Amino acid sequence: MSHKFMSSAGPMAVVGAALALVAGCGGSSEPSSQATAAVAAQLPQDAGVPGLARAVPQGKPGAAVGLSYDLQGRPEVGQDVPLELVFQPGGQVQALSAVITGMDGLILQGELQAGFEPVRVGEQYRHLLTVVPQRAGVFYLTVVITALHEGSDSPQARTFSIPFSVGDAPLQRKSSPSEDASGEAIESLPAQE
Amino acid sequence: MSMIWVGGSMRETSLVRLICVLAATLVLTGCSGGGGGGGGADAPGGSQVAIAGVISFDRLDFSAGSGGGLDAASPVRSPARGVQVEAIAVGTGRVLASAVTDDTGAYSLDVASGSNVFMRAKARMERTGQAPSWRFSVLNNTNRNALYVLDGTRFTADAGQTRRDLHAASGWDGTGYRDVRAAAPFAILDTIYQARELILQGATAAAFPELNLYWSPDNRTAGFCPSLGNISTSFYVDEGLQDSCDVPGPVPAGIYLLGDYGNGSGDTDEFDQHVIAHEFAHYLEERFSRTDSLGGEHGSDDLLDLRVAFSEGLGNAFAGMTVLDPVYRDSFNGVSRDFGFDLARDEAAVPGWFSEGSVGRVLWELFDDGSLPASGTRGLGLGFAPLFTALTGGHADTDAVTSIFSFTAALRRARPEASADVTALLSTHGMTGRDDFATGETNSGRGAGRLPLFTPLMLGQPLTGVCSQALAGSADLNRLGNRVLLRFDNDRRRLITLQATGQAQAGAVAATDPDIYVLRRGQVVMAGESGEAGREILTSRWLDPGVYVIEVHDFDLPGSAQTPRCMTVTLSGN
Repeated sequence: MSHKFMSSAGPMAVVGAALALVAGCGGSSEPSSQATAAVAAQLPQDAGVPGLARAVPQGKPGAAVGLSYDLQGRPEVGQDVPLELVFQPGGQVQALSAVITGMDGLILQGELQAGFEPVRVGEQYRHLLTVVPQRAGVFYLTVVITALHEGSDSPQARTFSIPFSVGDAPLQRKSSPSEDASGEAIESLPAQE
Repeated sequence: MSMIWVGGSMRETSLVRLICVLAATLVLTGCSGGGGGGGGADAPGGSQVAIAGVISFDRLDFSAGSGGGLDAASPVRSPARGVQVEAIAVGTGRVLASAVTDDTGAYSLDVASGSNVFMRAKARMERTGQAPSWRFSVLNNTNRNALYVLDGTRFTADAGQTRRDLHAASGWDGTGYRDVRAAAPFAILDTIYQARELILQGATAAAFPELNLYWSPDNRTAGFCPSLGNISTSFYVDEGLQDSCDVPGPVPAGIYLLGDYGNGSGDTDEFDQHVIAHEFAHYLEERFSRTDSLGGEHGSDDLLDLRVAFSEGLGNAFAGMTVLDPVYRDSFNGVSRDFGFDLARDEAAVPGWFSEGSVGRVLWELFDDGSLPASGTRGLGLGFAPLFTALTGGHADTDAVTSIFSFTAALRRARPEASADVTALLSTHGMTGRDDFATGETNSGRGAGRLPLFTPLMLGQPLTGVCSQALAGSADLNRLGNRVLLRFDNDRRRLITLQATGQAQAGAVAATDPDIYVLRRGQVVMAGESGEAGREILTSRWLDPGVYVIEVHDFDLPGSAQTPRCMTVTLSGN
């Protein structure tokens, strides 16, 4: 069982756009007990409906690097699962590096840092590691990529999260928020006085 | 841990107000000083107690050296300006009185003596009625869009209980975020306060459409299901987008901001003022001006579609103008690192109209008068007002697409005396286009783009060599050269057929899935997006008189080799 997901190069010109595009990326973007994984750093796009302006999410600046990944098996407690990361530099990127971080309940084996220099747009750069879940639950691997662009000595960054679930871990949803006297939902934060 | 107050006037003002409150309590008269106090007697006929205080929050500023992230160990105690404050009756939850903080975070309000209450500060700025007006709220998208509120403890309002300060702490314990991050919503709102003030410089009677800002400590860089915290990145979106949750639904319009600390490896943006203001600029474009941007991934060194380059360059420059600092910084790796760029000094690797770096720098230099510590030396010092006039005037009405050319053309019309300086500034950054349609532009971005930017399309004359290129990449199909823009001047209402057909040529292959959009002032009036191999056709469509931009590209460009993918475009009609 192999799950491949792309973090970039999402087609924007799809009729009906956003939903169709996400489906085109390989299915649900949410972690489930079936060990599906999510697309990182990809926002759906609505290419254009006659008579309407295009509905597009407009994000913050970041490194021109895409990330796709291939979780090569169903994550199970105590079982090794190979994870391949594929970095795709965009135009002007000359070098890139990445740091991979897990979270409590995960053991990561292999190099947790990767670096590539020089790199070329259109090429793919791969890095392999192994994930060993220690318990059931929903997990997120974080991949922080920094890229050095042509003509610049200041790297730019982009952070990706790779979610996956292990075992039958239901998504934890919060209970309904409380309401104020007007009926508006509120989340109370404690003040220091 | 050191606590630093921002602005010496805050302490003085608060002290004056406290004295005023005490005096008012003694003589049973209201203290009508700053803070926008509001009434609300709980027990008619009973004596009133004036309650006053200051609402504040921790701001984590960037460390002195670039790249060092936020200085979490030294939070700056900052006033929560313009936020709503309420005295809430314990038990019933009824609002007994309300006020709005002033620019020092101070408020005062009156309640009936003996009332058992607590004070609440809402993460909301609101002014209704006569313009200027606004309503900005910070909501938790992972908690059913609940409004963040900062609650104090209960007390009985009497002469001995008149001072109630509420402080929202960062939640940083010295090594990480271990406690409630109460400061975040108020830090976000305070950046919006500054952005609002900037816009009011250009439009003193602005009526701001409602804007919600969605932040959660669970907002992470994964997928796209905001209700679960998966927002991919910080972004602005207007209405009309679907999420990709298990049960897809509409994404509420607003600004979504990252908040996941990720045990020190995540990305949080609540204290990244440039990021927040950048996204606010997209709201500005959408709601006060116009943007034809394609959105998608982008960076300061990318070679972008001209619409994207302008929108993102504007976002960066607006951010600098909002916080009066041209050094854009975005923290990551928890809070321990940051990256960014200097709008006043950094040159794009390939400067030009396709670079958000160049566009941002032009806009900053139009604004900057050289008086700021980080100012550059070439600023024209026009300030924000004429830029806003151009954004909301000719730029928004352009027959072309929104770009640095439509903007500067509008600016020249609004400020003709600055026209020569604007031309010189553009030239400095590799831009020579003279009007909305970039007539005279000679910079193709090292061949990644096409010149002229808008190729005329004539009725009955097939146009060959219309090629989608990926020399600058093709991520999100928003890179320079991915899409070709044509211009058609339609002199009367006519029935047209528009066709794009893949056609190989020397050094290029035939496009395999051409797509066509017909735009009238940014609105898509026709779209051809079929999957037909090698051809797209819009047959027998009525076209009203006007100037149209026809956008053509090969949908199959991403993932393909960098060989151009070409088409012949034909427009026929009566």
